[in-house]
Amino acid sequence: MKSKVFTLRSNHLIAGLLAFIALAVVGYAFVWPALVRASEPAPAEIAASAGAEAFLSIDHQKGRLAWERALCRVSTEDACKVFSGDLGLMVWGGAERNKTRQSCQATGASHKDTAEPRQIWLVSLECRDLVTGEVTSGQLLSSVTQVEGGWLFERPLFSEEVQDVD
Amino acid sequence: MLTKPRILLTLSLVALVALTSLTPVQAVGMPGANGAAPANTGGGWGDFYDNNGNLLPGVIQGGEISMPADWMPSFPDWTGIQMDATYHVLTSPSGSTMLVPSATTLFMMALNPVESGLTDASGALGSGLGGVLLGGGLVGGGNVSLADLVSALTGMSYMNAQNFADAVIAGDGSVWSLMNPFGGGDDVFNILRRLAELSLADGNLYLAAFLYESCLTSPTGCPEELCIINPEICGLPTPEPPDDDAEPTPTPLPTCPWPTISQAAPVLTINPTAPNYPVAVGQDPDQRGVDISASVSIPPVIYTWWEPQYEEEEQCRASGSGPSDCTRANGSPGWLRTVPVLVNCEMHQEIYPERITQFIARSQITPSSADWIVNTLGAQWYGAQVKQASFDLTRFGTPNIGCGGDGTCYANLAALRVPYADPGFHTLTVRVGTAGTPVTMPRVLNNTGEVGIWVILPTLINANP
Repeated sequence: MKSKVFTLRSNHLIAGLLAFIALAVVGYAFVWPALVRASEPAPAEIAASAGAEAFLSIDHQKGRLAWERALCRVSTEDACKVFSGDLGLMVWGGAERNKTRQSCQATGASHKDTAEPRQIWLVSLECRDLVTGEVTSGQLLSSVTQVEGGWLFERPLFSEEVQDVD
Repeated sequence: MLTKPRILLTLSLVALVALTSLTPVQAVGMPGANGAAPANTGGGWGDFYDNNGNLLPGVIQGGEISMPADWMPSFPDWTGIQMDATYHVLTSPSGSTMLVPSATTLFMMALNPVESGLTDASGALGSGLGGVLLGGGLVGGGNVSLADLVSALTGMSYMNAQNFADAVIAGDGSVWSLMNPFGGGDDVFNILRRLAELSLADGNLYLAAFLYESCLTSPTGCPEELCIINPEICGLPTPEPPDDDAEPTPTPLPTCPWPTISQAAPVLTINPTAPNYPVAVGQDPDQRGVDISASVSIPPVIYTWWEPQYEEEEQCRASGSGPSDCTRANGSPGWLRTVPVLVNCEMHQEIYPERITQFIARSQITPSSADWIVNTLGAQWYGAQVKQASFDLTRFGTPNIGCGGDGTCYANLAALRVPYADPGFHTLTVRVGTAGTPVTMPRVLNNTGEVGIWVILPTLINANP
């Protein structure tokens, strides 16, 4: 029976070490950023989450103007007009009556639909009652639109729209 | 089915439609909007407005109110967010109450006409909400279709609006799928934007109103000040003695003056403050820009009303029970009775701040300056064009909005170093929306100023004439 003998020489070790270092450098320089980029939220997702958070974060003690300003910071100019007008009053009436004080944070979002220049995202949120500390969670469909320089929130979708489309 | 191009085309004609359909509505429809007399002068309008469209004395403006409405579109239950219906409320001295829905509320009512009380099941606008549907212009005759209303509110063509009306009357919920936000344009957003613009333009959109013959049957109830003046209207016992055989009073009991509403004129200014001769930022090595100051001051609304105070007094009256126990002024026998006599009118004064809910400050190049850049300057400097015709001044400063202790509400903006790129004159506009007060309607106020931006042009002259 023949046996083959491999002799491990020092130059093999050095070559192997250099190859490992080269692979590590390439991986760090190119592969890792690509992975990080792939896992970063898209600008439209950020806009959808920020809009849903601002829409649901209502504190009647801070007043309607504070709520509108927070919404307008993440919304298009047209959407800001809508929230500052009738629609804002309609939402705020209930908020004042119910003495709503809640702060909401998006915990994730999934892309539902694209119809340029708009996208619809299903945003998962957790809302904390600022009085009792109770946390509720759920999902809200958030419509965003592409504007010069990025994406901005446009509006939350009504339940009726979703039901009728489903 | 509404297609995206048709909707977009229709909405692109919004301005035209608004001019052709809404302006006459506001002029004719709601008395007071332009001082015009109401189209429908029969029935309840006369309780609220005179023939010149002025609010009658004694009409109590209840301000903007919001009420829960299960027919409004909703958000998921877990959000805790409810959509209210919003109305402006007026109550006449006789107790009849008028509810004017906001533009968005009216649109949602049109989508749910039966549930909201806008109409009966036939789909024609007629009676509703426990009273008589009044309203000016469009619904004044009570025979205008749902499609007319949707068309006027959204600016849609009649054909598109008819599709909505058909779906609404079919009652299968498909009206929302006509505005499908998935896979196309967002018609709901376009409509909401349109309604917001309408509300902002007029404060309130007077397309329809609901009349309740008594404030007792109105969902908003009777205003307290009316109940004090006239308890009977509010279903409260009157101060007159409950005497079964009371003689008829020849004249009504003297009462106090009607309430009055007064407010000093608001002041709105917007002007450039520095430098004296600003130049287009592209020509300024320091890129100084222009400082612009906007200021709004709205004095409070003062509401004055009088509370009648009665004292009981014994008088010899013509009727009574049992034997006569007094002699009247004319010498005939009478009966002593205790009757209420007005002895005083106690004045009450409420000071209501008129809160600012919206602040807009914009700059817009004048048409003549834009024309000068393109045609005059462009003839000498090839390619000269308007770079930034219009922009929001609040990008260059944060407005300070609030109300002072004396009830005066204010909004101030210092927009600093605004980088004007275009020479010429620019119109500065400051506009505020107010929430109204319990006795006055929300409104929009605006004023304009002007800033001139200079340009440095090299001139070739003969140095050796």
